[in-house]
Amino acid sequence: MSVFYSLAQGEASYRNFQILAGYWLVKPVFWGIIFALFFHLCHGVRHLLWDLGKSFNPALLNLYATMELLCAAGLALLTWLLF
Amino acid sequence: MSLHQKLPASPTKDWLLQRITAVLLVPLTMPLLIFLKLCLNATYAETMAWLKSPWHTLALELWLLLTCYHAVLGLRVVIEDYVADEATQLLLIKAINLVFAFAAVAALYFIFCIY
Repeated sequence: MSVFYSLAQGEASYRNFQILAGYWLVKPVFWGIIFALFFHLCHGVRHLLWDLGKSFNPALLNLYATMELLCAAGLALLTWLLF
Repeated sequence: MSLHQKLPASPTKDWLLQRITAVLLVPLTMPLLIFLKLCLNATYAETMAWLKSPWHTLALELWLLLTCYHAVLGLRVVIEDYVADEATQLLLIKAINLVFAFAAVAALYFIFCIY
């Protein structure tokens, strides 16, 4: 919402937004949100698998839990490399 | 009396809509990330040029609406599961509906202001 607001307010407010976003304390928050987004996405895919009635045995549960974390980290890292 | 009789929507329909919005939101992550990348790095003119393409606007607006609805449905489930008192539950659900409706409408309004 604030991003669209700063864009709608014109160039000066957009630059202010970029200065705020470039502040060192804001960056880890931004990347934390990106990681959380991907983790949520990966876990959501697993929920869809569960909805299909699949992957309920303990070994697979542990394996997928690890895969989920690794995929989320990998996707966040990929995004960071492409940014 | 069951709790669900007090709530307007059907839980089964909510469950299904939660899944539908989830699946639709997966591909929409891409335009969102591109937009965020532009916002952090590109000039005002570049970001505006990208945003003014109809497909990009449509993708972001769709992402916005679906995310707000997905969040409302998800938080409703969390409240139903973890808040024991039914009156508090209803109040919280209504508050969350209002907050996300406001967020969605405000963000859409700002997007329309860009044009």
